[in-house]
Amino acid sequence: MSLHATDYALYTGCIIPLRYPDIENSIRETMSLLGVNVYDMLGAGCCPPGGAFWSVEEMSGLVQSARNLSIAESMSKDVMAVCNGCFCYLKNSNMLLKSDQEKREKVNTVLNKIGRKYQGTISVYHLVEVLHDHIGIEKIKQSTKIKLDGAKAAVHYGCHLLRPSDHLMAENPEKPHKLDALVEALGMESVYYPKKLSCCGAGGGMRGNNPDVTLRILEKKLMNIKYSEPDCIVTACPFCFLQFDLGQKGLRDRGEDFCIPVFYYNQLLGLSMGLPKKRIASLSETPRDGFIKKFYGVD
Amino acid sequence: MKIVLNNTNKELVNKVIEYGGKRVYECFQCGMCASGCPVASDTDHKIKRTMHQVLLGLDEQILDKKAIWLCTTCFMCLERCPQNAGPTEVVFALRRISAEKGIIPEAQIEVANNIYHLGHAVTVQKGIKLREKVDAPPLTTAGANKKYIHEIQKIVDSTHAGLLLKIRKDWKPKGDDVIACD
Ligand code: SF4
Ligand code: SF4
Repeated sequence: MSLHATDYALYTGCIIPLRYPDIENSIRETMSLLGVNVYDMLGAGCCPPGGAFWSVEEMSGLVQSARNLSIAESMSKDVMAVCNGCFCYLKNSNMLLKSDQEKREKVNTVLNKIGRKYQGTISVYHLVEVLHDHIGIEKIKQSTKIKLDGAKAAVHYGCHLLRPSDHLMAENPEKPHKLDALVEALGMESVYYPKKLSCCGAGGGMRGNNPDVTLRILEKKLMNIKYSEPDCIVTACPFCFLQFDLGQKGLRDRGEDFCIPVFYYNQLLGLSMGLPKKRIASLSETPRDGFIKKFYGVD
Repeated sequence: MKIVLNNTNKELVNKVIEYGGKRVYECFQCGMCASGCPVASDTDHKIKRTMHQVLLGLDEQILDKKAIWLCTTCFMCLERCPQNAGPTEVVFALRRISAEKGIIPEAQIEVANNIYHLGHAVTVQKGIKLREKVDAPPLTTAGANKKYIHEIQKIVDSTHAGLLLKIRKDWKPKGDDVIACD
């Protein structure tokens, strides 16, 4: 269990604070209404991701992750990651550094140059774990005012919340249920669709390296999602969110018909709590206003 | 093509092991990895074949083709491999070997330069404007203050990543698009 189940160092990463700050608002405001305090990690940098630094040299990824972890350590708080990639690489680094003394010493020689130190005193959690395991479904149900009865959601877990499961241990990698349970707590139905656990096609540098392939993989994913005719897609990763949001626009620009509203989980949770759309769910390229009007009755 | 099995190039497999693909020898070519791979049917990145090529020492076939950079790092192959041979780790090792030879895609260079110069994988100014639009609190992460960015530069400079990722002191971001991340 965590250091303090109601206090977390909020690691926002890059995409949420700089491309979807409405998601950041939704996280801050819903957590506060659930009685959880989140604290800013001053000066936190990129996690960094697997696609760049980890792909060329382990140490270059480790030192940056360790710097971020050391910021949370200095606050004596566990980290709450709100992006799958951040969660995967920060948690992986934390485990590596806790268990490998040689690596820890090497990392600390580097961190010493900037007056920081990694000690191995905290844990890293994903927001889905905090919501499901630490706060609990009942409390979330009680916190909402508007029930999404009749709405159907296609839940997308994303790779780096599930895998590699022996490091992340957040979910059953072949039969995850936490995000489904969280979605159903809002009154929605989480629908089955084929290949639910497959990749959205954005990671590892793919979105930048090969726009055609990234859209082709996304298209396959969306065809499977469409099979269940959902009213929206729900995820708890901003990079998957971005891929579904901008990627559907990319496919529309090529003349294809993909326009399923996409939400980060806390945006729906916040709307269900009665929080204003402008602050928590107003930035997207794939329109969501129709969904919000139909199920929440707000313009 | 003729492959002489008792005279293979062991250099590649040894390097893959050194760079993180520690269990590559466990592969028995069952193909489970490729069956769940999201890119196998759409790209040249064939993970089962790559595992075999490593064991056969066919480094040129792997590195010249650049297909290893089309892995989305989804870890599905690693999760499902019955031999726990760690195919994703082998991909990471091959990328590291490739980067040492100077073969690395533009997107990786771009995102690394973003992180080195801005503290984040994406540009900051656009983000600050979006934050104002939705009444988000002021940015407090690395991108908010040069002193944090200097910290990141200092620690990255203590590794080989600057060279491998072609980090340039005179670099300017190409644009506000999000090009690559996890
Ligand atoms: S890496 Fe694993 S899953 Fe893939 S072929 Fe080898 S043994 Fe089978
Ligand atoms: S980690 Fe890479 S090689 Fe393995 S299944 Fe995913 S995309 Fe394919």
